[in-house]
Amino acid sequence: MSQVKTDWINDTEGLSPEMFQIVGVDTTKDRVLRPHISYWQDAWRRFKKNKLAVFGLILLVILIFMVIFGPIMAKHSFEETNIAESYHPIDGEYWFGADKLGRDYFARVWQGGRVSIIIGVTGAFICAFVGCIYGGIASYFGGKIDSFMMRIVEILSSIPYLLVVILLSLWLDAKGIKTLLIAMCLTGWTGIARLVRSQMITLRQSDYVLAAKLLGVRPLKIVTSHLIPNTIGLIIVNITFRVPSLIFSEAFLSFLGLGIQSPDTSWGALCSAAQTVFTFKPHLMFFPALCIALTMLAFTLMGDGLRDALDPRQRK
Amino acid sequence: MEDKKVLFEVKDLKMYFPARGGKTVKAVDGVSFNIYEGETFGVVGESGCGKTTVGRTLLGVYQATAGDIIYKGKNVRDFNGDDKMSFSKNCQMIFQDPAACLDPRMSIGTIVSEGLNVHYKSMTREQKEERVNQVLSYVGLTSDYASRFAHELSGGQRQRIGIARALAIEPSFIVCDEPIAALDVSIQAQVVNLLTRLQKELGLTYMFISHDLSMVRHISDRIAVMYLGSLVELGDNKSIYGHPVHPYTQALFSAIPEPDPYHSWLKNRVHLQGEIPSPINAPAGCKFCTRCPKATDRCKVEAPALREVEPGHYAACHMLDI
Amino acid sequence: MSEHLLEVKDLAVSFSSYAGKIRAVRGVSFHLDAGETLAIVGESGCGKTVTVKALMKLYGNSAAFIEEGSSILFKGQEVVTMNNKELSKLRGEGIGMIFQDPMTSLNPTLTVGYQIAEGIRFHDKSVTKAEAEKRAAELLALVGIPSPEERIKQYPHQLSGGMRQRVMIAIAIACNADIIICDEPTTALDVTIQAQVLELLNELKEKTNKAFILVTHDLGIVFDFADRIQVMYAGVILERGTKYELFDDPHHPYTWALLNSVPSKQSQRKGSLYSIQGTPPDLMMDIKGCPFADRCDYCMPICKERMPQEIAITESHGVSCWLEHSMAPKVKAPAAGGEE
Repeated sequence: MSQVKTDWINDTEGLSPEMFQIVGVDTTKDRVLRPHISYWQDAWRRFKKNKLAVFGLILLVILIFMVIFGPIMAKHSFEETNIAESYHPIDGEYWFGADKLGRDYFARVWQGGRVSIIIGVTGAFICAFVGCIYGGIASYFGGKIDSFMMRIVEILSSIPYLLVVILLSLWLDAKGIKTLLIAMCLTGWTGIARLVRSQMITLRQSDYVLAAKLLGVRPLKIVTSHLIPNTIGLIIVNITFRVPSLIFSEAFLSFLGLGIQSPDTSWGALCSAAQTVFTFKPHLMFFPALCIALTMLAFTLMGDGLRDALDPRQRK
Repeated sequence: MEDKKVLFEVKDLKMYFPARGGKTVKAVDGVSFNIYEGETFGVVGESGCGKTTVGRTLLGVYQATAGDIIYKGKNVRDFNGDDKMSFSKNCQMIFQDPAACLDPRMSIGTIVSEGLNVHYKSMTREQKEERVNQVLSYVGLTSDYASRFAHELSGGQRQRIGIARALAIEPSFIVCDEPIAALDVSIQAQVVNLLTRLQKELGLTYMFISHDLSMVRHISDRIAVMYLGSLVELGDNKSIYGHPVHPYTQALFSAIPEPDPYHSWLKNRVHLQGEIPSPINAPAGCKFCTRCPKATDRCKVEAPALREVEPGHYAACHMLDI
Repeated sequence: MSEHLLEVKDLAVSFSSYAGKIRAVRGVSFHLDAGETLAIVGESGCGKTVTVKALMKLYGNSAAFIEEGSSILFKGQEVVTMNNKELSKLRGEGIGMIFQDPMTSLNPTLTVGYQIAEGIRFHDKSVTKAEAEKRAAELLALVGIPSPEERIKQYPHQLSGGMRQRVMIAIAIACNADIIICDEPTTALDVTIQAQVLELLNELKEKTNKAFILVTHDLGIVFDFADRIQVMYAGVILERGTKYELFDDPHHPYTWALLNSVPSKQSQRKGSLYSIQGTPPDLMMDIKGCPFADRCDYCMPICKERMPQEIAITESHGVSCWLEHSMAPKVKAPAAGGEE
């Protein structure tokens, strides 16, 4: 303790007696509060901090903009065939070149993107919707109903969806967006159903739900006021992760010839068509493949950011 | 003691939970006590002794395996819908973890008024708002807090919100389940002062569950000591802390850390061997026999009954026979 | 000046977070000699755990860093500038640590015997596996675990909370560390088990010449275990002294409040406990003046302007408070037992 100066107590320089009047605790001042921010504001603030997630969001906005306006910006319609311009190279007229039938590839890539993104997004929403209701019901009733419903989920998720698609397209005798969506959603909701169920079961054991029960709040009201709002973040994150996997599934099925049929197109269908001429016209493969990769990357980066931003455990 | 009105009469309450492998956890195993109106009934014991389960079973969170809970002369098993509503209006709970007991997605105002929407349906929006502000001021918070969210508050402030939520519907009985265990020392005193002040002002009855023996001594009128699901000693504050008769109570109270450098509680305490057995395979006979310094062969086979040592002071120990 | 076993000077530790820098420890100096026990007392968030973790530069992946100008001398060696190799030698051989929650600090997939032996063999490569295990069993016997030969083959989940804490103690002393840091060693334990563990630590203290640092919020256990106590608040030390000095003659209003907010045997039942208003300051803010000023019943205008320097009352007793200044009014500590 040698460094402690004891003469400090007699050092009165720059000090006045008024500074030594005991005033005690200032109770008039409101107690220290942290800044007022709502749940979504807080989540947005945290999302913004994640540079990769913001990059994903910007990328996605650009892609969606191009998907909406790309076909309009192009000089030719995506369906317009012109055999004379077959495999037209990249120039000011045909920005991405032309395909075998002389169709403008720029217009086709973005038109295909519409189909891919629509399938991805609507598919994810349908899966989330069905999954939430199913998982919610299972967790709400619990007991035997719960275990019966969960066994069904297990059976469904063990069926390979490729098989379902082939059977469905044979049975419905149609290939296209509708068949693809039905096939992918038929088994795709099981994951989110499980997630919602387990989240709701955890929440039901939380102290605030117990408090609501003790206050006499009705079970249904507890579901709508406590359980659903606290599951929404999780569902949003799951949707964002679901979209790229559905886009990829669509591309994969179309690549196999089970998906979208010409003249309609999707990124997968474009890749499939470009496969035969890949060696001498690689750009026909490159553009749709790049779009698939970028879209999946954008959604995945954004999903990562959202998961961190919406996770209540991460809140400070 | 005679002039006091009985609020709760608990008779031989048992609460078993199924455990893995077909075993049962005897969380509460035959507990009887009364709670009188206007008192603070302290329940102490170490973890796994069933004190939280007793509180929750009392409020109907769990259906008792056996035994009766009689509330104001009526058995809770015979409750009809109206009885249940009035019971939930009158009997509330304060939780241990102030962070977990508030919904992170609800504003403080919504949380506090949750019970009003159930029990005071006729109230207008303005009346509800006024009531929320009133209970917030009870717990020493301003009405500004109503628009805030739980994560914006400190631990002590959150616990006040938990208390305000319970108070909003004007209950007469509150189970305080370890209300200060998760709080800092300086904040603990704030909350305990608040609870005693509210009791005086509103005439509340408390069941104060805690492992903090010095706080229980400070706040309780009567105290029940639990060990492995059983009641080992019950009596008023003075007799329980002044001259405990059960060996477990003696050991437990001598292990209260006392901030005094001149008098070592650690050296002068009653030494206990071993640790608390699991409630899945609790020892036969007296549950304390595995750790009791005075255990005899009789303790290992026969469970002692609760008997009156002096008026209002009960203990369960074979030593008291002799 | 004789050399101390551990000497900490102006230690400052900060965390960088997305909302800015959190200054958890703001200039702390203390020392420790062999054979003595120092207690660091304070509420959660006062920087007591961060301080002791800094002694071994233990932060895991968190964004903590020691600010420039800090110095930690262990046996004359500077810890702040140590590289990883020197640090891993220091951890275990120099300083051992016991954590609050034994369940999360033990690896659930390894036997307790392996976990004790692992440390021994890491620090002394010449020890064979069998020897290390034998030593592990001896250590378990030393910390009062019955039938140690069987226990070393068990996994953490097969032990009770008190047993696990004993295993943690065995690991901490396995490599003959000079300093044992106990970070809230009994907070997660029941009262009767807490007494057993404290007794064990007391025994170790008497048997060995180790130095102990006890980090706790519980004043009750401090007086039976520590020789010297320092009270921390918002990253600074407000008062320090031997346990007798702090108990008989506390000088800082925060120490008064801590001592009086716990109900004692003498305090009046259902009386109002001495409580501190408000909540601790936000460590992200710059604190001008004394960090306790906003909650202090004896707050003066000067307190919010300037941080008081530490003044020595005796050789070992120091306090940082403006009430000690010659111009300040003389106030008496409130009597224990609260008001009313």
